[in-house]
Amino acid sequence: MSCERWSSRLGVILAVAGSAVGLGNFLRFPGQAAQYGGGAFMIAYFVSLLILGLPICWAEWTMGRMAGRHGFHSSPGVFHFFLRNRWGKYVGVIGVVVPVVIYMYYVVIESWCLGYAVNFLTGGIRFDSVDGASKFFGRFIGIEENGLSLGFGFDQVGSYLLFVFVLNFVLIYRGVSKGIEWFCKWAMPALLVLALVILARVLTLGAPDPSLPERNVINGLGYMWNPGKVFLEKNGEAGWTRERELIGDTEIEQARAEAAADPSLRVETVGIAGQLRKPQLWLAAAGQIFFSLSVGFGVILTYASYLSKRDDVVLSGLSATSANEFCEVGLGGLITLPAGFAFLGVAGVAGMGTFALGFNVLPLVFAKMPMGELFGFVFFLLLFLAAVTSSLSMLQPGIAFLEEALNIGRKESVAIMGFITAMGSAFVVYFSKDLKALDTLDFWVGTFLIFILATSQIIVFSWRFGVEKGLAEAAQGSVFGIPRVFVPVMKFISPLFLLTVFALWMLTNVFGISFSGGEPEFSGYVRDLFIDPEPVAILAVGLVGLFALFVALLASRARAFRHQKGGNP
Amino acid sequence: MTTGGWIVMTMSVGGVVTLFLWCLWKVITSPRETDHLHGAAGLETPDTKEASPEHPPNSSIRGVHQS
Repeated sequence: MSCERWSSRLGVILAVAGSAVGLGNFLRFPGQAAQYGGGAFMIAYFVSLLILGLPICWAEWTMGRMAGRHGFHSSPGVFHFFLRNRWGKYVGVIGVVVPVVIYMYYVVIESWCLGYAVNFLTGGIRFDSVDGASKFFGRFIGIEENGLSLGFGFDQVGSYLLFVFVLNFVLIYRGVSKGIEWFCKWAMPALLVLALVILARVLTLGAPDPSLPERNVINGLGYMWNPGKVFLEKNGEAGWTRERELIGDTEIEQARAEAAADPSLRVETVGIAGQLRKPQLWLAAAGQIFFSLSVGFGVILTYASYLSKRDDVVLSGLSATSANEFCEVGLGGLITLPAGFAFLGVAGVAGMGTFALGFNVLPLVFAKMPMGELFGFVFFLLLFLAAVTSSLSMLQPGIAFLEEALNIGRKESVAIMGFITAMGSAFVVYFSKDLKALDTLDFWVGTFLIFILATSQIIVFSWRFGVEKGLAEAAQGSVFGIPRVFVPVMKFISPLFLLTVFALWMLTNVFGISFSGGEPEFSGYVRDLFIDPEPVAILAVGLVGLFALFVALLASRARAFRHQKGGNP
Repeated sequence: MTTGGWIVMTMSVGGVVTLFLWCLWKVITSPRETDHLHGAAGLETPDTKEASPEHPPNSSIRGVHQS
C-alpha cells in the first residue's frame, strides 16, 4: 500500500477518533467515577457499554441513515418517519432539547479549558498546593457567588466564553470540515501523545505528600478499580452509618485497631453485588456511556441522515466507540482519578462537581512535571479544540430541526439557535454558585433525558422497525454486519434493562422507597426540586421545560411532520 | 490495590485497547473502507452550501453522499 494511501487512511481514522473525543472523556468521566465510588461504577459502566452503548449507537446510525434517505434530518423527523403517527414527532423533541441544552453548559466548560490554557501560558497558574488550585478554580468559575465569573479579566470566564461562543457560531455557519480535518490530522495525535506523557507522569507520582503516604497513586488506582469496598462505620442514633471509605492496607489495619478499641466503630467490607444495588449508580453509568459516545443525544441521528446506502454505519459506529473508550478508560480514567486521589484523598475526589475534578487536579500534576506550564498550556488548548469539535456537532440537530420545521435556510436557523443558546449559556455562567445550574442541567438533561431518548430509540428500532430489518439495513454498505448476538440484546435486554433501571431509580430516588428497609434515599437532584426547593435548580429545569415546549410547538405546526414522505420504514 | 482490582483494571484497559487496535486493523485492511467511514463531527452537511462561498451549490462535498 502506498505511503499516500496509508496517510489518507490514517487521516480518516483520526477524523473518526477526533469526532468521538471530547470533554466527556477527560473531565466528566473521572468526575462521575469518583462521585459513584470508582470500582462499582466501572463494572456498571462496562455492562452499560456492552448492552446499551454499542447496540443503541448502531441503532441510531441505522435509523438516521434510513430516515435521511426519505428526507428527514432532525430527531422529530426521524421519529415521525418510524412511528408513523401524530405523536412520533413529540418523542423526537427530546433529540433536539438534549444537544441544544447540553451545548449551553458544554460551551461554558469549553471556555474554562481555553481560560486554563491562557493562564498556563501567561503564568497565572503556578500551584504548589491543593488549596492554591481549588482557590484559583473557584475564583475563575465564580463558585462562591452567582455572577462572580462574569468579569473580563484573564482569571475570569467572561471573555473566554464570549470568544468561544462566537467561534462556535462562525464555524457552524461557515461549515467545519476543513477546520475539523486540520484538528484531526495534527491536534488529535498531539493530544493522544500528550495524554500518554501525562499518564506516565501520574503513574510515577508516588505519594505527592510525604506526610500522607497512603494517598498514593497505587491506592488511587485501587479506589477506581477495586471490586470491593471497605468502610469504617459508626453506631449512632440512626444505627450504623458510614464514617469514611478505607483505602490501602495501612489505613484498613489502623481502622481495625480503632474498631477493636471502640465498640461503636466497625470495619465493613461491601462486595460488588452490594454496591451495584443502587439504581442511581446504574443511571449514572449508562448516562456517562451515552454522554461520551453521543448516543441518545440526537446528534448521530442527524449526522447519519446525511449518509448514503454505500456508507458503513457499523464500522463507523464501532470505530468511534472504540476510539472514545480508548481515550476515556485508557487515558482519562487512569490520569485524573488516581492523581485526584493522590492529591485530595477519597473525600476530596468524591466531593468535586462532575466536571471540576480535572481542573483542580491536572494543574497539580503539571506542577510536578518539568516544563509543566508548557505542558499545561498545550494540554488544555488541545482539550479545548477537541471540545469545539464536539460542541459544533451538538448544534447541528437544532439547526436541522429549525430548517425542517420552519422551512428556513441555514442563516436564519443559525441566528435563532445562536439567540437561544446565548440565553442558556448566560444562565449557566451567571448562576455559578456551587455550579448549581450546570450540575442540575447535566443531571436532568445530560443523564436523565438522554436515558429517556436512548430508551425510546432502542424500543422504536427493535419493536417498531424490527431488529431483523434493522440488521439488514445496517449491513448495507458495511464490511461486516451487526453480530447476531446483539439480536436478543437489542430486542429484549437493552429495553428491559433501561426500563428496570428507570423504574427502580424513580421508586428509590423520586418516591423515596427504600428496598433495604432503611431511611428513604432521595436523589439530591430530586431534593433540590421537591423537598428542599433550590431556586436555581427549579429555574434550570424550568428553562429546559420552556425550550421543550417551544420545540414541541414548532414540531406540531410543521408541515414536514404532517404527512409521510417516501416509503414505509 | 487488591488483586481483584489489578485483574479488573488489566482486563478493562486491555479490552478497550484491543478493540481500538482491531478497529484500526479492520479499517486499514478493508478495501475502500475509508471512503465509507465517518465520524459525526467531520461531516459537512449539505445545508452549509448556502453559507460557504467555497462550496457552490452544485459542488460535491467530501464526506457526504446525497441520495
